[in-house]
Amino acid sequence: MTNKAIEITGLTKLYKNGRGISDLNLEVDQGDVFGFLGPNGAGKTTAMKMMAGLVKPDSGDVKIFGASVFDDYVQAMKDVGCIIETAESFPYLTANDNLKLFAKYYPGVNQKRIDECLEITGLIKYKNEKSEKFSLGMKQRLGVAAAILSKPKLLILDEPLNGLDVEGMLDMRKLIKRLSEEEGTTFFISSHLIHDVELTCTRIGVVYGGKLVNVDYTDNILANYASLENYFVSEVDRNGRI
Amino acid sequence: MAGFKAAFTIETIKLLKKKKIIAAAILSILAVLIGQVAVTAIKHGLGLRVVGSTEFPLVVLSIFIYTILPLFATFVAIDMFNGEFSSNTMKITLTRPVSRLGVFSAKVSALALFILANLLFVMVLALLAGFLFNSSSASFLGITRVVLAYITSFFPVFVFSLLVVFLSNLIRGGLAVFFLSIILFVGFKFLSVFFSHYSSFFITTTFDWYFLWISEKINVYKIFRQLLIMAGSGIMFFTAGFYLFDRKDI
Repeated sequence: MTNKAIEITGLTKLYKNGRGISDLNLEVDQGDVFGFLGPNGAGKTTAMKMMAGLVKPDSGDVKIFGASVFDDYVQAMKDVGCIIETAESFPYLTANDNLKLFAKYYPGVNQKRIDECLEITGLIKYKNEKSEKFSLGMKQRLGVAAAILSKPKLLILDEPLNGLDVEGMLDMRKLIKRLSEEEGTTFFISSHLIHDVELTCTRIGVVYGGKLVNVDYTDNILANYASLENYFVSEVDRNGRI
Repeated sequence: MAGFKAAFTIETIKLLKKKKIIAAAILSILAVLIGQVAVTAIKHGLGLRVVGSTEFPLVVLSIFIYTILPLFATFVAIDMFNGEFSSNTMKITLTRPVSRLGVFSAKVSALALFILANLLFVMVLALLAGFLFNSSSASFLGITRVVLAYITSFFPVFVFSLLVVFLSNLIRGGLAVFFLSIILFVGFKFLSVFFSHYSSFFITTTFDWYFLWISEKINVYKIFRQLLIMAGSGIMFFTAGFYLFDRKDI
């Protein structure tokens, strides 16, 4: 059994407009809280969509716990929860019914676990409300509840703080820390909120212009730079000049 | 096919929660009621006996199979694919531990279940209406013919819905798929008149193949030929639809 949660080799997907991601090589260890940073259009979401099997790459491979996403999807996604781009739910169903539907893919998930997830995400009061009536933040919370439902070993979260209020962001940060420390969950998070990434992630990868330009541990970065923002700006500047 | 059972259960539950199902049920009831009222009015007003108790469901089927059933099967197929792509809910399913073949097959199976359930619902309603208003002409053989006609009618409608599924994966807009389906539906009927030698290849001409099953003398060769054509078309539409679905970037 590999101790790598994610192994990405030569992952390339280029769109007709020239954007996308090119030759991405990356390894994420089990237990890492990996932050994927980059400006808009750098290729973060494209990379994450390929990791979740939503987009087929031009070349390259993604292995999750040793199983290829493109050759053995079911095995690769067995222990993965994700939010890609936006947290979606079936609008004509209640929060509880949405989670009950998702639970059908995971034999061990029962009503107790559903209530637990709704409680963690602060949605228990609204469990019987249809998600079409939810605010953006509540939809995001429901997306998080759906992602953690099966107690996954890896969570791929694309902008998980989107639409959340301050309280929601603090809750989310606490949840990531708790799951990482207590259950050893691995996280792969993309966010434009650099301060939150600094506070939650243990390892950072910077992507710019469709290429991964640097990967380092947060502690190392903060030992050399005043803040993650300074590091990010310096990396982007350096690669922008090249 | 890992995850198929879960995906099929989910697709069926989603289908049941949608208003289209209620609309289909109401329209089906209305179709039977209006048919029965018309038959009764002619019987009492003009003194003509139009149909007996077990002939009435066949009259209903001959109208139902060309109108409400393919229309709602088209709606459901479009909703399952174009609807989910445009509302972004497709990725909810596709990021779960289930293969794309599992998801596609589950959706197609749920669509098949909808068609079959709708047919059986109308059959029961029409039989009940027939018995209530013309109980004197009921017979076991008549009921058998009705059941056979309704069950065999499932196949051509299902093959047509597979064509719609293929179009749903080929064209992005649901509205475009809907209109193209209608044009094809009418076009096939039209073409079958001008090219009668090839009429078997136009799917909609097989909609009345249930007559082959309930006629006095059963033409096994013709039934077998129609079955093969339907199976061939169904397999081609399923395969082409899945090919497009599997390659789709979400």
